[in-house]
Amino acid sequence: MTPFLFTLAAFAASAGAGLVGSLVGLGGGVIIVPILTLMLGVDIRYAIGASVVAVIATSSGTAAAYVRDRLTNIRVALFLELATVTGALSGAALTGFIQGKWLFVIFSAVMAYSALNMLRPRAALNSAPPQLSPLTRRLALAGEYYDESTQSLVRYQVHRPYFGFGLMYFAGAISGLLGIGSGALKVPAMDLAMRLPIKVSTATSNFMIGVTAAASAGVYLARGDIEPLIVAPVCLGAVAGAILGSRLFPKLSNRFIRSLFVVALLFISVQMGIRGLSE
Amino acid sequence: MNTPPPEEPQVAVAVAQPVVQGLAIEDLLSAILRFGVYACVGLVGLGTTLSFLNHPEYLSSGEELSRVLTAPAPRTFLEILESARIAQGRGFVMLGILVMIATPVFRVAMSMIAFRQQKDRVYTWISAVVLALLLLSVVLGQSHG
Repeated sequence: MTPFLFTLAAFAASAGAGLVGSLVGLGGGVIIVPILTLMLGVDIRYAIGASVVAVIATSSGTAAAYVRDRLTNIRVALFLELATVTGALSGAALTGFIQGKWLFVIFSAVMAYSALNMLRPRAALNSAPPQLSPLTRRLALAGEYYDESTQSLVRYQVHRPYFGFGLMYFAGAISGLLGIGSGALKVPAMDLAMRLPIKVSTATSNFMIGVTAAASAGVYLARGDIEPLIVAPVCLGAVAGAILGSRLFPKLSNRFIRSLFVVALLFISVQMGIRGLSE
Repeated sequence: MNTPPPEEPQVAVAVAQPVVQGLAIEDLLSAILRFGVYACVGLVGLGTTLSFLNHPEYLSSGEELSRVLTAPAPRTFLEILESARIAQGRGFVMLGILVMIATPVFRVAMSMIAFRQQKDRVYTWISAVVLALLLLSVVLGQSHG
């Protein structure tokens, strides 16, 4: 394969990952890393370095549109970033003390469980009308956006902010420990615990993952894991996919976004399970 | 599915107030992200084009790829600047990547300033702590990595 063909192939794969990532609030690393290593023969170090940049590209590329359209709730994002960044720091500190193998297996199960729960109708989960927390009021954790797919104004508020905050700390710690993107845990936490509309959950997750990825990208850069001619097509492809995705996103139905996320989560869950059992 | 039950108490939606004349925080952050992405795409695109112009053999030779995939990359900021100065495509690509990595951190810093402008003390503090933790994790990561 010539470098030119490599560039085209890496661009196309990353565009696909950016497109999916922008719709479901994930970084797309789970798609990019296997394609680069297994199909294009890139060293795993460089593949991970490139995928971290792709996560930031997907995040910033989509968030520019979602923040403007008020799909991303920046207050909720900042509040939860407190938890994820602290979690990531403690997770990184714990590496070496905890065995990765069982964590992968456990989290594979947690993800599969949350994926299936996300398919249940909300009414079934909503047996008792939740009491609104004073913290929600204090931090103005509410918002509204215009949903193009249903042509209606959607108003929402955050339920159980403490519980959500705790889950986010956990999500951050796991991503720090296992080196996986935490979007896969952020969206279920916002959806199941905090009861945000699915589009707000995925858009807010998209906005948040850039920050965590940027913190780890500095490390990869210092280690020399970011090789320009591998990263270049991956970064450009991810931006192209993300921009396309952010155009489609507002028009897609909530049901479609939710189903796509559940499929992506089950895919990651299987991938993590295999990784855990084979280690 | 999205409409909350009617008996639920409502929290007033924080109305986006202008930070600078007519510019809400959301619009400011959106502009920062868009600018960061465009600047990165421009630099990375320029760098890639330069690389292919400087190395016409990239279009034909299959052996070049393994060399490209293993060549040591400029790592420190000074190496990157020097590489860009002598018009090496790799240098421009790395500058673009630096812009991309800095963008989300910069947006946290800008939200801190914007909330401060709005005299929203709680969110000024939240942004400040997030920013401090981010910088701490970069510093810790550098020393561990």
